[in-house]
Amino acid sequence: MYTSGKYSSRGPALIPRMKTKHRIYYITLFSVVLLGLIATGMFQFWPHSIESTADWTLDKRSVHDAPLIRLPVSSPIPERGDLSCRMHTCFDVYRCGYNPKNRIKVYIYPLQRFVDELGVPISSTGLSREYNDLLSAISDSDFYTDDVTRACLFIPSIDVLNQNSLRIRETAQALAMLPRWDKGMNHLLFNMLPGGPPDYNTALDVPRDRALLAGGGFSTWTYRQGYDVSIPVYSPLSADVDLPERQPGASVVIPEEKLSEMYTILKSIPHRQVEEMQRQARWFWEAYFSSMKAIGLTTLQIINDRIYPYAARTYEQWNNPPVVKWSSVNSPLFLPLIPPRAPGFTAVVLTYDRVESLFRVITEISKVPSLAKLLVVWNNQNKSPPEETLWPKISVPLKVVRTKENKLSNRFFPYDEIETEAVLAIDDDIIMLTSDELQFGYEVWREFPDRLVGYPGRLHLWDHEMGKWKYESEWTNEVSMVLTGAAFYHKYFNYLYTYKMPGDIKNWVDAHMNCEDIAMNFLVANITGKAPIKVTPRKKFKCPECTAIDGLSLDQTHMVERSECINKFASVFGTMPLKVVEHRADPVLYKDDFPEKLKSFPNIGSL
Amino acid sequence: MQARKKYVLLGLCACCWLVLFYWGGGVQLRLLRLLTRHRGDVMRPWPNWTDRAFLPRYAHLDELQTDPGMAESPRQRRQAWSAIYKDSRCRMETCFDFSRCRRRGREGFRVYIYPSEKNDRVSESYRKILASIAESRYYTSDPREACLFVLGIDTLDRDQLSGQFVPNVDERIRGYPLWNDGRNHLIFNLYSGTWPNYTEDLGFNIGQAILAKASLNTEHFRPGFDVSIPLFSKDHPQKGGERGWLVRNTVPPRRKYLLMFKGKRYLTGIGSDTRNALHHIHNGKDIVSLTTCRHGKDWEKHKDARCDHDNLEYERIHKKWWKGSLNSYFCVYVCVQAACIPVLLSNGWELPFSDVIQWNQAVIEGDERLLLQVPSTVRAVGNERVLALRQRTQMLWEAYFSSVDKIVLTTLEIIKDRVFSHISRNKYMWNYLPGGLLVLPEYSTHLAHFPFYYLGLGVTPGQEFTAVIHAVSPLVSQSQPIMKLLQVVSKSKYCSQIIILWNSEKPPPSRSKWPPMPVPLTVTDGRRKTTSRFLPHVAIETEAVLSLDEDTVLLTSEVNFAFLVWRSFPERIVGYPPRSHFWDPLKRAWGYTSKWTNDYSIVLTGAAFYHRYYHYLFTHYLPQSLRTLVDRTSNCEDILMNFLVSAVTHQPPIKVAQRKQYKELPSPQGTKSVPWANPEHFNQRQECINTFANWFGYMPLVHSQFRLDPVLFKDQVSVLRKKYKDLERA
Repeated sequence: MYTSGKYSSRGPALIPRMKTKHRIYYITLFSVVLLGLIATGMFQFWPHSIESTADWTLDKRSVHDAPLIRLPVSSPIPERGDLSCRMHTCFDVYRCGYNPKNRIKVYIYPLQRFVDELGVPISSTGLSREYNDLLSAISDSDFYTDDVTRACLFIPSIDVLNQNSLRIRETAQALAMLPRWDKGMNHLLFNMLPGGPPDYNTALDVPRDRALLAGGGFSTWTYRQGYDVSIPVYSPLSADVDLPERQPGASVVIPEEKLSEMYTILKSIPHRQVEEMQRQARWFWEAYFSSMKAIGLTTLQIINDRIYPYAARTYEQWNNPPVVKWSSVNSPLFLPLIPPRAPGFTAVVLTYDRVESLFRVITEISKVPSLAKLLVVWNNQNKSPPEETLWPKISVPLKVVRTKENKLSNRFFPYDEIETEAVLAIDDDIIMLTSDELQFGYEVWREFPDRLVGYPGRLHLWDHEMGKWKYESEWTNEVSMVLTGAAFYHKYFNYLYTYKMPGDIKNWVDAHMNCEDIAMNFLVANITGKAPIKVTPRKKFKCPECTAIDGLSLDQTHMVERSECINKFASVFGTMPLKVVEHRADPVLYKDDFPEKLKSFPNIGSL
Repeated sequence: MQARKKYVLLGLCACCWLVLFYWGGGVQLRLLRLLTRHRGDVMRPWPNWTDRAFLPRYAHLDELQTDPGMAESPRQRRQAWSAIYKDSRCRMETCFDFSRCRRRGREGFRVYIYPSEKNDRVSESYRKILASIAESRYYTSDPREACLFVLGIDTLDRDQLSGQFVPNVDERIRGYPLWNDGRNHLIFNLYSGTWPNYTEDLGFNIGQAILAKASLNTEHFRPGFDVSIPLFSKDHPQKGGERGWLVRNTVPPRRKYLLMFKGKRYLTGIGSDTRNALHHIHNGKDIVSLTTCRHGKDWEKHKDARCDHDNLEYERIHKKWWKGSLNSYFCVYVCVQAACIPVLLSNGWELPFSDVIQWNQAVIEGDERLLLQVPSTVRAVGNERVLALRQRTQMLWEAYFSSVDKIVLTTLEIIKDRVFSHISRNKYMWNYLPGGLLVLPEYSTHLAHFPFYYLGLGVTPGQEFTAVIHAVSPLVSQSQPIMKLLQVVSKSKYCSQIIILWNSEKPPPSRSKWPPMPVPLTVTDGRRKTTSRFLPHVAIETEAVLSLDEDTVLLTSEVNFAFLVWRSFPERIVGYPPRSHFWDPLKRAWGYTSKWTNDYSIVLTGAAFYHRYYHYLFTHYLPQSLRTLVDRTSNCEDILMNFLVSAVTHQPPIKVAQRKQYKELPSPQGTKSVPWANPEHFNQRQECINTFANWFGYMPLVHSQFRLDPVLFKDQVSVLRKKYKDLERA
């Protein structure tokens, strides 16, 4: 019965549609016209209508339109603030959860006007201009969420900036009435003027359960370390600020007992330091205290750092003005370690097809005592490397890596095969370096593991006529680069070159097939702030007859291109990071009147 | 027709829809919003109120200008507060008597140790603590000049079940006339309470004393007053201490194990929840959790299904990796030394020296309530961060934890910085190399005045130096070496002034006896002390100091070249004649050699550049005993300076090119016979090295194998090209 009924209801509907073809045509036509109309409508009105309605619903509203809430006399009052509160006892971290951006979500309660049973408002000012500025700034920031279920921190729209304008009991009741109050858990109150006669407390007197307090004028007793946030008292007219946290570098904190010595103490501060303190104070003011927006967002960032401590901003990030940030360097290899000799170094030879020369280089390098492994980067995709039997027999492992593309950046890839910290980058035609020279270079690198330690030294110069940088390969008294045709460096710089090279430098170098060595010098100097080390007097590398600028380098256009590289990189880095020095490293007894056979590195070539 | 009706209806609907569109946008939007957002609340950002410009200010100007507390003086206010907040809320301002520390700097901060009574048992660890204080530059034996008092009674172990528990402490301390309810007293403690609750009760009333305690709970910690110290074992070295175990910065910095937990799984009591939850993140591959249930006597009563298996696994691996049982707090320090990165999930643990150390730069902190997120958090830490965290842990270990001396001194320095807050270190000094203990704020509180922070501040060392010439022979002729030296040095364009340190028995000659010079010349009285050459003379205004012996033979270009090298290495000594030390396995002592060798670890300060801060460190950081030794023998001051600088930098000094070998020429007439020809002189230096190594607790000197030469030094190129051609003349 049931099934047949189903059939009968379907039947008539299907049959007519099958019958008439032009009906389908009508339907299509009609829908096309309709869709067209809708589309035009949308196109003309949609964007405007959103804006205008947003204006209409959000902006065309007065504070006085906010809903009125009457507080019953018997409505519950929160407990007084708990002085023992800490993040792990009074804050519900589950609400914040794991978050790939490590950023807390902040919800702001919609504005309500609270009055008591007689209709008297709980605050004489209501929403103040400053609190409104603060809430607008937060709602415009990345912290803001309008989804109360996803929020980690809640900010009441009840203005408690100034305790003098509040009715304490009623304000507390109003707080307790907030829908997500839950004993004040994860709620943040902003207060700038706490206390009032007769006690002049240093923290807001409004009972607030476990709510966090961002307050001005805390004393060290009422401030709950690691829980509350100390903020400056914003003064709308003057630039007068109370320091929220002791900021060495911007203020001189003198204990009261030393008041009589104040003049001497202040006099003893050198002029240069005073200037720097002024600069620092100015920067604090501008970055953190200058407006309600700055104060509000700083407070949220501080709380954010507590909730995601592993992603917290560092002391320098908080304290260094941009000028200092720009010029200061924090080397990634800052610990003064002299790595042990034993692990040795890995030689990475970049080659294309000069097999004969390559084999000579391999044979020479293999004599170096500290060589741990040889890695040949075969950059020729059209030709296979020679068969295994043809390679020179050497005592350390030799690996050949075939690359997918003939790119210069292949030489700086952090291959897994490189198991040592030290890498020797060497060209396949550098045949003149002796074993002593290479071993000595490795020893020098061990004392400077954060620098490029290499043999061919080069210099950059400022060309006053042209008003730009110039590359110099003449034998000068100064050095600012060492070429990676033969240089030791830390494997970490391979990571930086491959993954952290600023701008388009890496691709640019690959496209131009030039200047990878200059790029590496820029990278290392920029991150460490240190000059490279040129080792040994060696200036000729390919053949005794050659001048310093041999082979490729002879070409005048090549030199022009190298100069262009320097200018290009300097503009990408936004600065000239290269440092010029006038020294090179030689063995302690180099050219000293001392028996050669007693020297550790007797075979140091002269040029 | 039915179909037509249908179309009409459809058409009408469409018209309605369009009408709605053109005129009823608002309604529609609201409708749409309702559709996209299922929850009923209408949510939107904070509105732009139309009347926001008319909102009242939060406070009147007069409210802001009158400080409510101004009616009473800060002192009165503080007294009122201290009445409200008793001992448990002590702050320096209320519970510490600053008037006891009235004198400036080091003089004002003296520490007195109560004599211990005869039948007192003092544990090894406490004995080390007291020894560190007694040897420190703050120690005084006179209680009247003391600013801080330390008990002679061992209060380290307050576990009543422990054998080292000292009873009746309360009665005894109250008998001390200087106790004064604990004011200005410092109490060290490592253990308090006992399992299972490990309460913070010390078993006596500490009153207003500052508590330096290991594993402090944040709830009992009085911020800015107490000091959280690291837990250490009785075998912890008194001085020096082992270096960290990080010797290589391998890349990638990952190791086999990403996360490891090793320890007891308390079945009951505090910490049991988290420890029980640990097995949820164990994956047996790169995250391992090794736990044992064995703890106390009655663990079997509470044992659960996992216990037996866990115990077996634990025993197996524990034997392989660790020696002895480790307290979980202690684990962190082992970890820090071993260059692992501690992942701390201990809510409420006040980390050691948290006042000054930025732990978030060295460890990964998490909330123990979010344990299950730890693997993803840790995996998200990038290589760069791991590399930095690892080096940071090592830096902290070496600066503050590796010996009892460092732990105790750090505690004292933290308190001293609070007492003299206007001359204290900032966080940068505490957290960057070489660490707070080697940065003396009395010298300066300005980072740019130290040799360590140039790169971090993005500045370069100054362009000038001050030459300090140590003169011992009376001035008799105009051809004396010192005359030549004065001319050579004053000709350098980098020289800003010359100071002659007059250490001769004769009075200094009149001003007219000295040759005319382009730079100011000052003669100061050295009082015939060898150490006076390293006194921080106020006259030295440049960062660089060129220290010279009167008979040094140098060329102006040698001076210039060395100065430029120093500007590249401002934290090191840059000098000419090298020396070396070595370990003599036969004598089982350190040896000293002045022979020509392939490496060196000392450069003589008879001709060397270094930062003027080292004068200050030499005079105020090193103990009086070592300086007395130098003065008594008139020897070894250069070795001591090299020890000091290498201990600070962990780096060797730098030797630069020199034309002739230093002082190998026959000594000209008029100077005293050279003391280094004397074998006694050499033996003294041998002894010095061992005495110094003993005080430092280790051998800070480091060998180097290179010297720095001008780029074209002795190259076969035209002399005209060379800037420092003088250096090559024979």
